[in-house]
Amino acid sequence: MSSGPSLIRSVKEIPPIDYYTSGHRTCAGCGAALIYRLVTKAAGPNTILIGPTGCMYVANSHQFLTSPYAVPWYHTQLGAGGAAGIGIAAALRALMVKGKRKPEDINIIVFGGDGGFADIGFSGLSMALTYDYPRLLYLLYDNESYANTGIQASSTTPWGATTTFTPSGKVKRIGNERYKKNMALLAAAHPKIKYVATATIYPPLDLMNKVIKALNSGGPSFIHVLTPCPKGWFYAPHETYELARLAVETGMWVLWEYSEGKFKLNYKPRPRKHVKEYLRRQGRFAHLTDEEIDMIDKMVEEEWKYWLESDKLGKIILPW
Amino acid sequence: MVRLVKVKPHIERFPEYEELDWIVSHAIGVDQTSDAMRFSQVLAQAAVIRGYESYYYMRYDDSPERNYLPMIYYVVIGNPKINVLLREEIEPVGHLFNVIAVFSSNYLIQRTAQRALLFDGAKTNATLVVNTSLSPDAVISLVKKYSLAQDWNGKVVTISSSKIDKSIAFPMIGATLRGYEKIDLDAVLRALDILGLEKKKDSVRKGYEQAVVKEVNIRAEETEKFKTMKHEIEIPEFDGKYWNPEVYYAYQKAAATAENYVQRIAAMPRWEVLAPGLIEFGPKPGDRNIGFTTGEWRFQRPVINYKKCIDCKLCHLYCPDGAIDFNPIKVDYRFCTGCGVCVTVCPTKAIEMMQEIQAMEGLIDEEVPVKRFEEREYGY
Repeated sequence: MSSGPSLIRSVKEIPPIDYYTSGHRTCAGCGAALIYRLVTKAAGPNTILIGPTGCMYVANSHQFLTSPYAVPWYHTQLGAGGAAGIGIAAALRALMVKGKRKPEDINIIVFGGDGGFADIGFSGLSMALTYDYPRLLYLLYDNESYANTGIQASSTTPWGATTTFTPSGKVKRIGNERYKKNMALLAAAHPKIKYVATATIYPPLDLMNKVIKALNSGGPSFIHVLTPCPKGWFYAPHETYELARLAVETGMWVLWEYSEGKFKLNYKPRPRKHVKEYLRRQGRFAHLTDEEIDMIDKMVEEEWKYWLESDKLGKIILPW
Repeated sequence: MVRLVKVKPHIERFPEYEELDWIVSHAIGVDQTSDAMRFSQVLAQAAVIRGYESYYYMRYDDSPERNYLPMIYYVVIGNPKINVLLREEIEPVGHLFNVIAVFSSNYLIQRTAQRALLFDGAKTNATLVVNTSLSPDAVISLVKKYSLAQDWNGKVVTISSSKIDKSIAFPMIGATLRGYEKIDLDAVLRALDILGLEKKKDSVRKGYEQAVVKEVNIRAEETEKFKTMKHEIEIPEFDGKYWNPEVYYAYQKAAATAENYVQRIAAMPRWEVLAPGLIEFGPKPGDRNIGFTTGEWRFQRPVINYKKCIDCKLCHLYCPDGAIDFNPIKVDYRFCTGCGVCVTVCPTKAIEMMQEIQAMEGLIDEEVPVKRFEEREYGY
């Protein structure tokens, strides 16, 4: 994108000011809080945040009637993230067209969890992605469970993971027997969608630049961000960064973007690490045997053939 | 300008609650939640076996559901008539607690986020049970220095639980029996049978035997807090102007001076200064949300070695709490929760974790690095 928006090229260039600041009640080592910080830093001060119910609503609002947000933030019900986003975008557009507000670029970012976008709020999200409002970004922070209410399985929980709804036990040893839904591919299926990407907190500039690209893409956009969750994934809080890095390096999490009909891989792990390095660090996979982990590794290996092929063609091929 | 008025926090006392026995446990959220739950469960069951009516609960406000957030469990033991009134999970106020069980000694030196200091709410003959490798004398000196001043002639019981069991709960139960008479060891052993925890009998017995007990007799005047403790808090006066950010921020500054939970509630912004619909004002860009500090959660703190620091800004970028200033790189300890992500991202290993109790008092408590994650129960 030579004529596109100005991207951040090094860590020293990142904006120093946080618009999602300290003083919130998220877990120590919370991956979602980290994503909020990075995304709001990249988006800048002219931003409206919308939060469907989830961890990042409950942990961030009304602490003794204070707020950690230095930009406007608006809470919607769990299924209403998509509708609230286009509602605010439409209101702003109408005010600007009628001359009641000076025309300016206002970013609208809807942060939904996997409940807010992948399960309960999916219909609203899908509807919103067919509109044409610019600077409207739907960002799914995916911690692979309903972590706020005590780690229940969602449709983005990976195969084999223990959750409180799918506990590993004597009768059913494998935890979750469903497979993880690929939300970014679903979003890419919307016609004329401008920008779809996947990201995680590693590499940080990749996430921040994807946010900048999405906001400048000229239409609704969607980013699926993998969010390590110390409580739900059952690891010590200091490993948040390490797990995001391993998710990318083992190929369990694929970083790609789909911009105006072009598919591109952003990171090709060479050589790809064995998935056990990622899975064995998490308590939720502790019950899996070595053979099962090898099986997951083979599945990832198979999937990557399609990702590489997609990258070569510049088009999406379904990896299953 | 904002005019400040002095408010004496109104502490509602419920005499009928004070007739009951209360056991309160302070633990590290998620890491020790299951321990605090088991601890309370077994003691409540044992009290029932001894003929008391008893129940245990945790309030949602006491935050069991976030990593490292200080969390609290309560056990109530008493006579049935009063207990029926208490079935709701109430907010305990007044001098209630007979036993204060502290699962991590950092709570002796730090105000918990919501509940203020440890002795806010204790009976004067309370027993303090601490999971620590420190001696009772060290614990007493910490209480004298940091806790809210009040007369105290009770007991301090310390227990080093990691030498006995992976779980903190069961040695702590044993230690608690040394300072609380209504429940005895036999009742607890029977309770373990009922709850299917037979394997833990040895841990309870060892905890009972290995606990170190010391009698305490402190007058409030002997404590350091007595001289400095504020009994009144200054909060802004509503000046008739609705939706006034100036008054709102003055409330936050007042809140920063609150000494206990009751004062903290008194310094909450009145609804008149909020935007219509009870909308809060956020901090100005570049500031932090001083109305809700999270530094009290911490049992360990990152310390930057500036000789090794190459100013790469990665720790600033990766701090989930945004507690590291960008320029110059510096940790804001009002907000750092001590998660340790900055240590793992530092390319030159310039950041090290140090126990909070070591940084503040120069003491090393072997029990503070909490048990490894694999050893706790999944879920909460």
